Amino acid sequence: MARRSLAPYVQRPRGLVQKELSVNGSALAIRWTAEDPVFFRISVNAFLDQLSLVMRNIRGFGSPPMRSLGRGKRTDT
Amino acid sequence: MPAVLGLEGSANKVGVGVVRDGAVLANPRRTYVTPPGTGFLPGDTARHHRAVILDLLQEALTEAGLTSQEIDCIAYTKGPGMGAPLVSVAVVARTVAQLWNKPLLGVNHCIGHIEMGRLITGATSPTVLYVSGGNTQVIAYSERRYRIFGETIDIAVGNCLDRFARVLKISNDPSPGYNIEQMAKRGKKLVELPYTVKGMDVSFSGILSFIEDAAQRMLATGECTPEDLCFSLQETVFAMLVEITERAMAHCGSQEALIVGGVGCNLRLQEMMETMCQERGARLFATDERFCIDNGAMIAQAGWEMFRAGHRTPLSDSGITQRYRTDEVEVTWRD
Repeated sequence: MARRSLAPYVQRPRGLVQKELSVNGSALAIRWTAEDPVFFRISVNAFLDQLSLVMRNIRGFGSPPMRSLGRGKRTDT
Repeated sequence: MPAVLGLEGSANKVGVGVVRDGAVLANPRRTYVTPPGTGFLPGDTARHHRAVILDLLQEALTEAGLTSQEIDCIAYTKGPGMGAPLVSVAVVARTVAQLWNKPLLGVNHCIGHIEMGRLITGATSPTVLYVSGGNTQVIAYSERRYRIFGETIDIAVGNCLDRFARVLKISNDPSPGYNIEQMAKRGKKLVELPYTVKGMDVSFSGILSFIEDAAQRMLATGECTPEDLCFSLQETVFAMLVEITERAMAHCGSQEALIVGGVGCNLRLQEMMETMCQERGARLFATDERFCIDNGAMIAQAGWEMFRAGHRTPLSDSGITQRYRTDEVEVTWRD
């Protein structure tokens, strides 16, 4: 869920820093590629801020639904 | 009877609103206020939004008296606006949509203002003057699009006012524009400023440069007071806006004008627009600060219209965009 929340943020072309998200069991893995350590640090800090928000959001507002949610799948009401 | 939750945070206001069938069930909001003489930067603004948005979300549900199960759709501001604040709000929208298993909708911020203005005022097909710190457009609906008839070619009128407030170190609480309005009421002298209307468009950057320079000279010599400058700036920029709105109304044969956006709260602007409308036999519509200023309910209302019309935003396509033109959206919910 966290990967899906953050993926559009990560996918924006940033030029100097590339990020890749993947899920390994219950672990979210992020791979950074950067030439400049300053931009790398900025990117890491910004990402961790967003990740912290996602984690607080998940803790505060419920558990994931039992059935899996496909990408872009419309919920029938 | 769909209920839509809307999240807004494209500038320094962050809000969460709930709308169901034309009723605003909740609309709490927080504003990031910076010290006098300063503006708000993207990173700091995003940090503010991240700190308060989850509390706002809970507040909105409580105020609406709804549970997450009773929400049918999550709407969020896709753009335009400042990047980092938009991202912070969009991340929450995506997470909540997944947690509650609800569809997601990315909404154009400008259209949010228009749809809330239409809902609250009942205006049927107005010429819209959209004026805020980030946008200045004259808009009218035609053939499934909100068409931009005129706009600023550089900075927004609200940006001009806000930046002038910094020069005078006017407080940003509750907003620089509000405080300029109060000072303008005490102005007595009209200082001549550049008046820049270019056809259907307007320009404010030159006026700002001029008045920033003039302020230092004229205040130092006692030629005028800060109140006189506030008064003069408002009279000039608002007259420009009235002119381009009237031009659009004449072009469209429109008998209704609607003011939306934070600057639309300004009573002097409303007064000037009312005078123009009366002279044309037209009707003016405006909202109060609850809905003029950026808020979550306007995103919820636009999202409500879009949801009923069948719009959905896949998670994979739920990014944000700092530049999102009003006429990019196909308005399928109107005839």
